[in-house]
Amino acid sequence: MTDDIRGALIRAVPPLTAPPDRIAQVRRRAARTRGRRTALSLIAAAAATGLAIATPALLSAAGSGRADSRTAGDRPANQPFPTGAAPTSGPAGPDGTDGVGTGRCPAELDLMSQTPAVVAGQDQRLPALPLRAVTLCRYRHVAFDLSAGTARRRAGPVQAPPGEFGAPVDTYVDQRIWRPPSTAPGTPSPGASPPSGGCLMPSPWKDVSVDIVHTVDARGIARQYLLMRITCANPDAPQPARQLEAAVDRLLGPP
Amino acid sequence: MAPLPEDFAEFVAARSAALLRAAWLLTGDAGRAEDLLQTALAGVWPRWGRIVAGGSPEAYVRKALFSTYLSWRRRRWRFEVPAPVPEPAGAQDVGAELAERDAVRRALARLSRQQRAVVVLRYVEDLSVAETAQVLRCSEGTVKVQAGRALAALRMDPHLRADGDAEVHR
Repeated sequence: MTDDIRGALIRAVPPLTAPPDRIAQVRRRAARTRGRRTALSLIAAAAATGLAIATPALLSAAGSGRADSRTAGDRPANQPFPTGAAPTSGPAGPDGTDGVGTGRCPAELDLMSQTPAVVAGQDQRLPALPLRAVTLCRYRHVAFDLSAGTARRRAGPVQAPPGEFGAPVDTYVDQRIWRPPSTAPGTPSPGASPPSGGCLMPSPWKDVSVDIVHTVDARGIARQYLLMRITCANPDAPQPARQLEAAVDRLLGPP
Repeated sequence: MAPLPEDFAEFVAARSAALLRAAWLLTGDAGRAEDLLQTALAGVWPRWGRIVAGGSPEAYVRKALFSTYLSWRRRRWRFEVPAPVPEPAGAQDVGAELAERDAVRRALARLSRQQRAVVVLRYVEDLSVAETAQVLRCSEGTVKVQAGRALAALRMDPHLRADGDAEVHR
């Protein structure tokens, strides 16, 4: 099968001719990239310098009247304002990033971002039970291809009872790894092919609901599981997330 | 401007065809493929001496190509416009070849970027799961999952299934 795929892909590539001056074009690009980076560094340095000069004046003006807990009313004059991303819904999660976290669902999210919790959720390791925390977020993405654009929040954050999600998460992680029948559970066969069929005619193709289940397990490891809420026309399509999706829908409602 | 290292020019001459092929499979367009290749090469050139000293320059350039491709979604490309790629002299496409090529291109376009990258690395570049994971900076489990999904999608793609010559057999 893989030889057929390889052959089809290679045959699909049209005759591609190199431009006569490719090396020269590469050299020009490299020079322009260096120039842009130098310019950006200079701008950043100028901005930082300007901020350091202007901050004491701003601080004294801020400290004279307004009671805003986010400004530096009680901050020493020689310390700058805090910088960084605008606050999202809820406190920062244990992975310390701006993506989905414990008690946090950003209003807009890149579903392809590889935060530490996302990466941890993609590996084959089962979470250590019992779970300590579970946060649910629901998003809507305009296209089936999750790499195109960002998703908008539709529901959440909902802090779910961890005890209700241990078994569904465990089942999901265990069953999404395909194993040939002759292999013992928990030992995926390297290079083995997934089962036949797959998802036939996935639906919908646009305005797809995507649920994010953010967990913190008994060892304090944060893992995130992304569930595309699509249906398949063939009833035999593997559905390792069914139990987990049902647990999510009990709290967020149907997608 | 500093001259390009001689071995860099030799590397480009020797390996560009294969890298450009991978770039075309990722982007589906000759112009964007050349753009992607030149962007990756421009990024590695300043560090070429260290890359060669570290061994496996081809692996490094391949990683740069795929990393550049995966990061393209986060920004609109505004600055560089590659020179027009000349049509190969005397090329005559037969209708069936065009149809097959278009069917595969459309099928690849339906995959996510990461799935496309996994397919090209695993089945065209012939990398192992571990090597693919290293290039894409993800786990081996992710490579297997994405490869499985991509193969399932390609098998189910109506354009590939409709054309007997281009059908992806199980």
